[in-house]
Amino acid sequence: MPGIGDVFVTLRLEGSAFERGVAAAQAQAATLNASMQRTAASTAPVASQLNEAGRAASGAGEKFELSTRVIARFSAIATQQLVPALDGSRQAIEGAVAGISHLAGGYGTLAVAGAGIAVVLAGVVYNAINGSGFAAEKAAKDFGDLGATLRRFEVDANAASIAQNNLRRNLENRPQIPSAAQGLSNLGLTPGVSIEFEGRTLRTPEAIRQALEGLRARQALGDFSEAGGLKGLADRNAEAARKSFDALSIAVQSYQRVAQAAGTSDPLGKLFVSEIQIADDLIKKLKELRDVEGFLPELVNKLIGDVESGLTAKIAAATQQAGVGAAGSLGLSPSSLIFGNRDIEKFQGDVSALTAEIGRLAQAGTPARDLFNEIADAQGKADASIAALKTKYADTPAIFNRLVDVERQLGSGGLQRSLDANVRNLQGIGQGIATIETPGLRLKEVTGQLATAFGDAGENSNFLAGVLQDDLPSAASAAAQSVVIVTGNVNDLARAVANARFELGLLIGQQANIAVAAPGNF
Amino acid sequence: MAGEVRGLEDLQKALGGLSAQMRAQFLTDGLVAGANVIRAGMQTRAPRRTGFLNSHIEIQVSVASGVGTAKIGPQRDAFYGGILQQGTKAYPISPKRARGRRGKAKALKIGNRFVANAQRKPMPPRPFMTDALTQDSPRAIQVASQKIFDRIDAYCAAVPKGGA
Repeated sequence: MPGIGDVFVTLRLEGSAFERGVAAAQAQAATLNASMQRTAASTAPVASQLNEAGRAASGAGEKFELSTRVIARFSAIATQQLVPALDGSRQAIEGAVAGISHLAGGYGTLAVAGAGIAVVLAGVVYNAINGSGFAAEKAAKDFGDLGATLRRFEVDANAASIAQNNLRRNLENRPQIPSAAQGLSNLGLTPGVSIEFEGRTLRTPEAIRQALEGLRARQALGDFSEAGGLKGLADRNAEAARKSFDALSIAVQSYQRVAQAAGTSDPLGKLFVSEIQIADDLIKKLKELRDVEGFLPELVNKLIGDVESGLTAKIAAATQQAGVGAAGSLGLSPSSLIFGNRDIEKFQGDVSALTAEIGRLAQAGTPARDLFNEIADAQGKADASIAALKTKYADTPAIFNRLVDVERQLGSGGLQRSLDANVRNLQGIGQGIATIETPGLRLKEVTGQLATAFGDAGENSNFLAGVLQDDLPSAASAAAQSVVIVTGNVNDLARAVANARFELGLLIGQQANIAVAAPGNF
Repeated sequence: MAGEVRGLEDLQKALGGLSAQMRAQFLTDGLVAGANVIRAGMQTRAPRRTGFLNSHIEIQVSVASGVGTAKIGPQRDAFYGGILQQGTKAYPISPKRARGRRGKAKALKIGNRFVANAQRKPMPPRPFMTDALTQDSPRAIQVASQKIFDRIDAYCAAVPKGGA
């Protein structure tokens, strides 16, 4: 059969993202496996102790989702059954179990059959609470020294709570900026400037103000002297009074600011005294401008708002920095909420900076092919960063959950899709390029408008990894199937993956990074 | 007693195999399926006189480094498909000359008339190839993807049962 001629079109399918996804799914499965094996190893020693309890608790449900909340509730119920004396302390038990489940590591979203795991955990809690018996000791030991872990958890939580309270109290107790008169009177001082006026010594702004008002009132009455001498005297006095008043005002303001700085014990507050004063001055000037005829008040109001929001943002950033510093000084765990919040915000900031830079490069005419490669690398790095943070904060539920949200938004191809679309949009290119060419001579090029719902093949990996990690339980539940990851075999799991895919609609119209292109044209 | 762990190791093995299979075979299958859509579009749109061009459109698939490429176009025997696709410009037709630089020009006869020279009209392009590509690509991609997904499903279903 003769080969294909010199003129042809090309359909190209980029499979590397798909393979990266498969690799990610492999990693997820490995993590899952390790996590489940750890759980099984931990629960095995107490299994025999819980046979009775397992039967007693089995009526609670045939299957349930082993989220932290659910397992805490089930465990609390089972523990109450085990230990009637604990009746009424369910909330406390739930809190303890929630801590355990997170400390035990990463199985928070798996579906399991029966209430066995919950009962096992409940038994561990019961034994840990009672602190006696060989089985209890063994169970606690197998669970990673449960008592010590719980204590560490409590210590971390307490330390975090203390640090937060201290920070909050410092912020709340930061001295308010007093008015000039109030600040001086609070300090029992009078301004160090005085003026002599009409034979009297005026020491306070109020006295000077009254004297000036009296003078103005007399001026308003006109020249009532016989030869104008009195008015001239009054004018001279008024000018002197005005100058003295201005000097006094400046002195008072300066003194007030020094007093504020000296009186602020909170380092954070001290840091912002000058910032606030600068902002106040700026706002005051803007308000004066607003009163000038011809200035648009809306514009000035917007500028005032910008100043205020800028100050707020600066204070927020410094507060976070101070919080991190305080947490470090107090010796909080590196996986504490404060550090976690900082890390997440730093990651999001990096992503924003990257997005802006990619956009700038795209607008500058950098070839899309190079940008796409760069973006693919960035996605890989982002995935690695998210995975590292999830590992680091696996024991901090609030941070871990936020990381899961971040991962859904930016991980496993999310960032890449967003950036790719941005580049395509900025450079006005379709999702594929169709060409007609002969070897060595391009005759015609047509931009293919591939109005397809397909994203890239990384979605496929998302689906595999995501289904394994997060979505399969809900999909199985939605399908009313008795698919059980923990007790199932690989065939069940494989079918569950396929079923979950369709149940969740994760794959339909979403997969495969297929580009239509000619060789060398991408 | 719940809490058994079975099957995940098998799954890991299956995923490992899946990646290798994907590179070698699934991409190829998906590409062939997608390229067939484009080919069918070309066959429908190609100018038809004898049907030779229509029946001589070929697909050539290659996979390397995770990238699959399918070329779709007329075979060498149907080279004129490319000419039809691109069209031709206008060009002059002059009578041939006898051998030698001073050879006498031969007569040029077009139809029943002898003419000194003539101008060949341009042939407009009939872009059946690009039309097929641009218009049928979305469906081709869909078909290719679906083919891959079907292969994954079949693969998952065929994983041998057994647990650790």
